[in-house]
Amino acid sequence: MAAATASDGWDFSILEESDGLRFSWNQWPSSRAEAQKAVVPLGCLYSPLRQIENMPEALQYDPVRCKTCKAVLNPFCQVDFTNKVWSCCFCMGRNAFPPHYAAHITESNLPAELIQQYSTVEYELQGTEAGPPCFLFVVDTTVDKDELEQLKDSLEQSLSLVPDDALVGLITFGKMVQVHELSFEACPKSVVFRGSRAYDPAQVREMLGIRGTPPAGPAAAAAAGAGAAPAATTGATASGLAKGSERFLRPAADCSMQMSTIIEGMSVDPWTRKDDERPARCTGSAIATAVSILSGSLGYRGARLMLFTGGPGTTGPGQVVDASLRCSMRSHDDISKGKDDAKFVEGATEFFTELATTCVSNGHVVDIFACALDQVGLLEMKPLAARTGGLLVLADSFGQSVFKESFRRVFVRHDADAPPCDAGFLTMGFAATLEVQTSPEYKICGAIGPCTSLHKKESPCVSASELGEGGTNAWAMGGVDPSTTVALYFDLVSTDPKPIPISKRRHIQLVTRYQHASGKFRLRVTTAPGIWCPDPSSKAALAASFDQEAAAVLMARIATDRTATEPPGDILQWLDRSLIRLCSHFASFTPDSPSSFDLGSTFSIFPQFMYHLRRSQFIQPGTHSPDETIYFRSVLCREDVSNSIVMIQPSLISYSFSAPPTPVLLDTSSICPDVILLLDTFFTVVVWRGSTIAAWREQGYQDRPEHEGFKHLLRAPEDDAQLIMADRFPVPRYIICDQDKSQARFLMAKVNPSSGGATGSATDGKNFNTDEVSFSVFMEALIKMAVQS
Amino acid sequence: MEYVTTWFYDVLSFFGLYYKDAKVLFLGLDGAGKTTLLKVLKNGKVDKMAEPTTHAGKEELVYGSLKIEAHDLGGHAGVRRGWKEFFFDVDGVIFIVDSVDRDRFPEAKAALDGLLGSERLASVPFLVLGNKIDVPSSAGDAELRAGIGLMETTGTDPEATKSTGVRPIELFLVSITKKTNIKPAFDWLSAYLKRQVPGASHF
Ligand SMILES: Nc1nc2c(ncn2[C@@H]2O[C@H](COP(=O)(O)OP(=O)(O)OP(=O)(O)O)[C@@H](O)[C@H]2O)c(=O)[nH]1
Ligand SMILES: [Mg+2]
Ligand SMILES: [Zn+2]
Repeated sequence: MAAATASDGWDFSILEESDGLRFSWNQWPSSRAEAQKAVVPLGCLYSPLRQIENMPEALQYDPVRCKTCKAVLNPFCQVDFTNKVWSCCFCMGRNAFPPHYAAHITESNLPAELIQQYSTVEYELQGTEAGPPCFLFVVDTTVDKDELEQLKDSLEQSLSLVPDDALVGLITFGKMVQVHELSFEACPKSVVFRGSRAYDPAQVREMLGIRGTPPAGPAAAAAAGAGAAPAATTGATASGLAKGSERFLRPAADCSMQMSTIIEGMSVDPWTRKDDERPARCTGSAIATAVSILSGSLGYRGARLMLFTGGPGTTGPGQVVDASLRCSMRSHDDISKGKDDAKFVEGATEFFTELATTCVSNGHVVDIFACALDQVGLLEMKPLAARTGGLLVLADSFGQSVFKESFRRVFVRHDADAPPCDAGFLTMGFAATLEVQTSPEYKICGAIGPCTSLHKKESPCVSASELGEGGTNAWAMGGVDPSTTVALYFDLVSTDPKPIPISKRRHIQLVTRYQHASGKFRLRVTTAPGIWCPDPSSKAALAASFDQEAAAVLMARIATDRTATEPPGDILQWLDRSLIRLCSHFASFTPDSPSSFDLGSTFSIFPQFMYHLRRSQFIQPGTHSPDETIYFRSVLCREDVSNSIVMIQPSLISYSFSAPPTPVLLDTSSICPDVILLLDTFFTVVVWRGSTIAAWREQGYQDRPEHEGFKHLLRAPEDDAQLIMADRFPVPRYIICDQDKSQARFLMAKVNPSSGGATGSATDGKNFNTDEVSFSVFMEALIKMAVQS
Repeated sequence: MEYVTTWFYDVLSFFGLYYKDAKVLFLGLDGAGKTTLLKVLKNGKVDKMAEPTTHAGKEELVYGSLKIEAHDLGGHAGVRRGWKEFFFDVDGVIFIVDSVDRDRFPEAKAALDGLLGSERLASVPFLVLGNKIDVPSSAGDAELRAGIGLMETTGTDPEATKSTGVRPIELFLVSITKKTNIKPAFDWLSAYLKRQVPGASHF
């Protein structure tokens, strides 16, 4: 379904709700030159598993595809009912309907995938069945006793959240790796691996007595990419496991007693260490062992390796820091200067990236729950989660709700009143691949998000210019859930501006193949049409179709992607220049007259987004550690538009006696003693009480019957904070603080320094690269540059 | 004898064997100003206000002829438990107290006492900064000393303690954001750091 263009403007939420799609520009310029002048790239954000209100129940048949370009039959294909043929909206090729369609199809009897409002449908691929998913817990036991007790508590609770038929397994690690057997009730047994070395997959299988090979499932078909024809044979059955592995991976319902007993009995790693040493923690070996077990036992079948760790790896492959406390964890400074403390970064990253590759080829997902007061090596382990579509959660402690509640939410299920093929199943999907088809007028530059290129260069939809994961029209996404969102960037083919008739359409088709938590394979197909700007000489249509939020997120993803290879200074300069060019192209003004500057309404808040983006922790690490920085960036690159916007520009709501709760500027001018502020940065939710309010509260006014109103005023922001946190993943850190107190810095670090901050003179050169200019100074400088003749 | 050891260290540092930056820990309660100090020393200005620190920060600072590896640790109660992991090869401690927040003087005192009692830091010089004196209501020297139990200190002249074997410790009242009194405080500490880190001035 297209975003509606009512006379009063575009409504971007329509396309998002019906198809999980948001475009930066909704009406496209006709040539490259025009697109370049528009500065913000043509692109979209797509959430392949977004829950769509009116999507029909999964279709119990395989899709019909165009014989020429393999596009899936969709509502935008022309149907010739008399001759029973359809013409493809991508290649215009004519296709005869298969016999069972031809026999029944009429204008009033259409299959679901041809009904206009079902622009997104899901097929349950017939004859494919991988079996229920598997959850392998990999647990660090070299943590404080209190921490371990908290973690054990969460792990035990999770046993009731895992579906009964799902396979579970348990590995603990410290100095050694222990793989626990789940088949003996009387005395728990385990197989021990040394932590200081790497075992190859064959050795792991050998030591565990896994003799068979995993069933050949639909791996071949899935590995061939999303567009490939669905697997012809079933291969795997629900219990299909390589022989020998059933001792370590068993259906939850059959082994919950054993699991509980083992979890109960877990104790802090007993190995003694010298005073000046960190505990021996073989995180790398433990993950490698787990990966070998999953690949050797399950083969291609949905599985999550869930790592729970409370400190850095100090021994064996993937080690991130010396065991000696005389050496410290690498800082940004160490990394950029190539200092000794950063000596493990490269090797460890490579090690984990290689493990990630194994996981990707088997459809296995790695989640990392890092709970510690210092870094654990998230920087190095990030490829494990990012490449496999895994989740990252960074918390201070296993006792914090940031961990406890987030972990519970991983197991969220479809509502009981959902269609039967979904109802009660986990919402997570596995082994997803995304393939994108475009109209001939434009091509794909690349994708930025939790995805890895499948190197399908040969597709005619692939552009020569690359951005992010480029040079392909198909990507492996691994684990996906309803919030997983990928950014796609496009490039026009035509170089000369020419009028395109208003009736002409461009199309995009996004085909996601994934393993549903039921074990069945699904194909979600979204097809969306779009329109062109009929008149290359007029910017009006283009400007009116600008989605500032989607645009800001697409820019933020590029900026974040570039942090891997460029210093922040260069990225800031690029952001500044882009913004100046955008403004001078679309604003109306008299040259050299800043006061005449008028940026249209569809661009009104875009400069603000860019202002906040450039000073955010995503671009400038500031005082955050490398682990924190990589965490923030990873989360930004997987969330949907509205969550990402909150990350870029945190929201601030003011509560007072004089007015109902009001959104206010993220600015020091909003800080008043007689208000309560509610700040949402996505990662942290802060309730901040002005000094007057705090004093009243200290005097207990809220408990006096005559001050009922004050009691409500105090309560309202806290209730709203709970609403914000109710279904967010990861669960935010929740802070309640008073003005000028230590924790108030969680708010103060985010507000724009309109007063008291630097009011720098920043207009030298082509950007205003001064730290902490206020938004009004920033805007002034921007306007001055934009109107310059 | 002294000549011999100096010569020995000089040779080692010449070969790059003994050269190392002075390791200095920034400690104190949350909100005292540790991260602000680090940023001021690093960038010469106060840029954006930092969030409370959880993960330890580390920066290389240059003070005159001295290179300092500064560790900025988080100060809230939970993070404080991890401070002891940083107590190896320490050349100096900067302990910062918020001289405005009188309610927390006892908590600051307890944290400071804990550090002073730590065996590993037994001979390490302590620079105690009473911060935020730009705020009119901040505590003065006497009040702050009483509040954090720092009645006796070794004096502002580094020469005085040279051979006494007593751990150097002194309080300076400063404003980090206004950069008031930072220089005398650092001059004091760096005199000891140079003595502690042979070869430190040879880069
Ligand atoms: N008035 C005044 N405020 C200051 C001064 N120095 C720091 N501050 C403020 O005090 C707070 C100190 O914050 P940080 O430097 O982040 O504190 P910290 O010691 O690193 O705290 P943690 O990281 O939580 O342990 C900030 O709000 C600063 O703006 C000063 O000299 N005068
Ligand atoms: Mg700090
Ligand atoms: Zn076709």
